[in-house]
Amino acid sequence: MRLGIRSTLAVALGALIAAVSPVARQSAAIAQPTTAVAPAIGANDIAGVVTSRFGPEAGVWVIAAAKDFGTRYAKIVVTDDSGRFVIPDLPKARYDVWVRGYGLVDSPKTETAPGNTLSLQAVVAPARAAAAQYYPAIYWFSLLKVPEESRFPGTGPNGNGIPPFFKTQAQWLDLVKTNGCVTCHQLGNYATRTIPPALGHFDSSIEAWARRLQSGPADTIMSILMGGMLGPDGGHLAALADWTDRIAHGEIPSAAPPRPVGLERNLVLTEWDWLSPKSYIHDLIATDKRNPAVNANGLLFGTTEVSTDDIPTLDPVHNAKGLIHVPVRDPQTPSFAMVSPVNRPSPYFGMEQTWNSHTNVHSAAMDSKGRIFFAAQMRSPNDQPSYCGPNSPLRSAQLYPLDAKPNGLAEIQNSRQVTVYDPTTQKFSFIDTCFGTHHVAFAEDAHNTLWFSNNSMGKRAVVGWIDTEKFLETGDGAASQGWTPFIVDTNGNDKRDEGYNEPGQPVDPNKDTRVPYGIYGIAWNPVDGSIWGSSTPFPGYILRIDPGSNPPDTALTEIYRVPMPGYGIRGMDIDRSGVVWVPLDSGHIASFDRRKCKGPLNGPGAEQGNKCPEGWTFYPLPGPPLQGDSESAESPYYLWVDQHNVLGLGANTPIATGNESDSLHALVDGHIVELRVPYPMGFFAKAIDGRIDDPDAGWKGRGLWVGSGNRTPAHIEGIDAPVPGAPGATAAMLSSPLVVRFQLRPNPLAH
Amino acid sequence: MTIFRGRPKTLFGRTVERASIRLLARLLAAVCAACVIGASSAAAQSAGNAEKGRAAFVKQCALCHTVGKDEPNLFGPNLHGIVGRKAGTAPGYRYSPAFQATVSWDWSPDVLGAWITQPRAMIPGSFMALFFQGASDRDRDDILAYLATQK
Repeated sequence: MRLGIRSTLAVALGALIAAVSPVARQSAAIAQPTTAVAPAIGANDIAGVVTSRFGPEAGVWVIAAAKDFGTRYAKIVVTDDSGRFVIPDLPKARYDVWVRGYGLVDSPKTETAPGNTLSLQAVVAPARAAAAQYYPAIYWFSLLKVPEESRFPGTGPNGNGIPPFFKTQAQWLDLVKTNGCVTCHQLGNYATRTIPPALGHFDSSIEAWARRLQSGPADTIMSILMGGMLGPDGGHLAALADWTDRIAHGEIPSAAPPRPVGLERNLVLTEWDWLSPKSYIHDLIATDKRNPAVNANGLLFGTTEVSTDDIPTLDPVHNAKGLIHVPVRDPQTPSFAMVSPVNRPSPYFGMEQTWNSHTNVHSAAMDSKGRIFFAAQMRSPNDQPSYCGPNSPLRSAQLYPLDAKPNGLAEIQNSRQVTVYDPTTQKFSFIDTCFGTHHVAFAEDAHNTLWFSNNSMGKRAVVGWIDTEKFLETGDGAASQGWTPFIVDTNGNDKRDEGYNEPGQPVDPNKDTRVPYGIYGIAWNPVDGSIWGSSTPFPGYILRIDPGSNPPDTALTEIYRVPMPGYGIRGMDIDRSGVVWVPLDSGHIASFDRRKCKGPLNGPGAEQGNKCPEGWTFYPLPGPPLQGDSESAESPYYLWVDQHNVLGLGANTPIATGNESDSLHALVDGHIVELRVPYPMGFFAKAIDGRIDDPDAGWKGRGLWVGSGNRTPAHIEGIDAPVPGAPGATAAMLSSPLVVRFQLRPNPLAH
Repeated sequence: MTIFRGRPKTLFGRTVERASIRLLARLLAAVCAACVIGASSAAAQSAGNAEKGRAAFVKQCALCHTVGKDEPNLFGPNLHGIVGRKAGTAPGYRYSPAFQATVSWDWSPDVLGAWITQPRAMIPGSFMALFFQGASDRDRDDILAYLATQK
């Protein structure tokens, strides 16, 4: 059956109305066909039709979950306009199949096997409150009240109560969103919009929230963040208490999420879990980003940051998960547990120190041979090699020594080096870098240069690189590395000069100027070989590093500050045209196209980052705003550009992680295609990889691989959750981190 | 990740505490502490309301501090019996180097009142001064009265 645009819109609108109000569902059902025949299928598929008492249900999810594989396996598809569905290519097992959708509550589970056709009865939500339990976190998060814009700037405890550090509401919101709590986990999912009974009984909700933030190994981090947002009225802590109080008393989101429409219904999700509920992943690596056919059908590798030295692997062909123990070079390498004491029990793991990693594996890149270069710690942060100092034979060290010991947790956390793993030999090797490592990006050059951000501010803000060809040939990690601080051509002579102005010092207009903004995300520009990175200090910056003909001597930096309405940056990526794409917690995806710049990009003041505001374009993200704000409450963490059209939405499609929306946001022709993960609720991505396993197999031979990267996997909807979206009722039912494969077929019934 | 960008090198992007300025900071801290304590002396002597003080403590202090006997140290030390106690002596708590280098006093109500309202002026490099703006003058005496009951 083929519907015209008008009919499709009518169905989509009907679905939206239905999701908002069960009372209105009658009219929505009338607009839909009342009969449908389940499509023909193969022996490995499950198909059927979903209907409710209002008729066929369009744009709802059908979930098939199996427990036979030792991993939390599930496959999820969306119904078409007639309520039909096909779940394709299921491995042989017994499956529980059920319907989940906006405006519904979960249907009873039907046990079945591949090859069967089902008639599933969707269950219309009896009330808006029941329907809302299935909404993504952002809808609940939007009930949070934030200080009105008129209350800024903060004038302190004896003034308006807001700390003077906060000059604008946007600065406050940045810490409410991605660069605050949502750095680690959603706000608004069941786990956070309720107070776990295990925390105890309290006289007030503020006390309960204070106690909650003292839980587990993140006490220090949460206390520092929240402590800066306190005031005589309790500040943000009181706002969170008020938020959960109102929800406990029955307040529900005023907006409802739309059901999938158009291309969104073509999505096929496959899910696995790996690792354990006690540990988390930050990133996932599947292939060489430069050539997504590398490692076809091979293992996926997760990075576990400060949680554990055992990184997870997944064999998606055989649905088998495993662990690889990442070693350190020096036995005295400290564990992160030393600086993240557990002072009070968490509701999930009591006093157990669940963050006990020595290797602190943050990110990874795979080369053309499938070797993996991890940003990982392999020695004590205090043991900088002698070749990092000014008397080193390394040119980078002569120009900019990095022999100082790290000062404080922020620098210790980012004092990683490089650990190389060859899956073929299963051997590890180490590169002792002077610079810290964080995110990684390969250049497409003869040296296979690997570039590293280090997310360090101040003196240690540098970009580093490894000549991987040289390292693999010689094993000499010292000689294979280089780095440069970020030197801006503020004297406008188009070259890097010896001597430069230091940050915070009087500016000599005859000199260049160093900027102290270390970069977080990093990408290599295929157009001109420049390196781009994102820097997180408010309101956010992007930096362009041109290595020049003889780096580090010739390396120059340009810096661009995110202009309003944008602010709040973390990750970034670049497309094949050299356009930079960033996610912003102002509720946008933004692009920066340097080709649009009209004026000179160097010269006096260039270090301020205010050049080329004309290069920016902003695209609003979907979702309701917080109370007191007007833009989406979405708090995106990272962005990945599908340079090779792996997913099928077109080459160079930017895809932002929808960390509050259980989704990925793909920007297609200026509009967001919402790729939603409805089960388990709590999908939270920090990294995306795209791999082509079989270039001749169409959509089935390719897909995106995405890890659920929250630092609190126990917050994710548990196995057989006691209520929708809730953590598992027992330790065995808590969620582990997830791997989700996104595939896009040509229509909702393709198989 | 930057979840650790606060202690003690940077917090919310602000640069704090460099080894090269530590000595100067300590000297300034000692001078400032004397000024602050003097300025707040008269106010701190007035009686506060312990019940109101508990409410203010919950909103501004309880995130980092326990007050009950034998309760654990958190990001900040346990404050049971703090009034009159020698500063920097909470059992088992690891104070910041700046705090350890500066404190040489007992927690009299005057000193404690100054500390909770102006931590950055007293000890700029201390953990509390890194992020907490201080309690309001209005809440100071009430919080002191509440803390005085916790012994």
